[in-house]
Amino acid sequence: MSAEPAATFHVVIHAPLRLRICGLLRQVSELEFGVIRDALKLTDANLSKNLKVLAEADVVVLRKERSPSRTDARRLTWVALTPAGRTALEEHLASLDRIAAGEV
Amino acid sequence: MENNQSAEARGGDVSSQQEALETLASLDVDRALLAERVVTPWWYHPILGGIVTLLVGAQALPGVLSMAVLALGVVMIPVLVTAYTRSYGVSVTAPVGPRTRRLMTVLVGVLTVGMVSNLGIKFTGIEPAWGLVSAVICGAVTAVLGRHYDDVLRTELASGGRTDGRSRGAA
Repeated sequence: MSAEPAATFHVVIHAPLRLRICGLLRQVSELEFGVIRDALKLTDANLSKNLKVLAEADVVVLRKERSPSRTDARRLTWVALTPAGRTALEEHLASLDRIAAGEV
Repeated sequence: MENNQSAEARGGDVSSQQEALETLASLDVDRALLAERVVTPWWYHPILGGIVTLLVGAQALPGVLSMAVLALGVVMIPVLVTAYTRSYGVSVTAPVGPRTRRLMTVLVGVLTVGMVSNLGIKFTGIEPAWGLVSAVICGAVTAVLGRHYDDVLRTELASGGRTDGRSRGAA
């Protein structure tokens, strides 16, 4: 097992909604857009806006896939943490852990 | 990654101890909600067990038939996994904690033992029907342990991969 992650505060991740999105993605390989939207009770627009910010910061990566259950052109959108995003999230959570433990 | 600062630099002015605790607690709630969604459909593990039966049983079959059945089994696994992930919108391809890691090791071990034993049956001239017995046992173990794996996976997802009952922020 690797060593404990460094405690580093990442401002892009710290925004409440974005942290919750990353928190959901932390232990899975990928989540479909609709699953995140429903789990966090967000609108499509709000989730899209925050995913765009995370993707531009290289925290998440989006993958489009044709949906066999849809007859129109809409696609499934899969969201995953990038390796850099996963590291950043662990560092950010370590930072929050330290603050919560009163070490900072 | 941009906008990074040390915990010491940011902690004092951005997050109080109480805010950090609340933030971590909200992540625990979200994680528990997500774990509830990771429900494998009833058909998943019986089909997976059937595929494992094919993969293991193929080792005992003669020549071309062995390769054909093996190829069929190998193709069916991604089809099954894709059907599941597209339907449920969740993809978990690796163990998330120590218990799921152990169960995965056991499952891979059972599959390996089954395949090796069937290769032994094939090359030592033992009655091929024993290969079928071995394959069915491996398939049944996969179906049963697979369901158990999912139960443990949900528990570990909800607890953040920790098995001591604590989650982040509860330390």
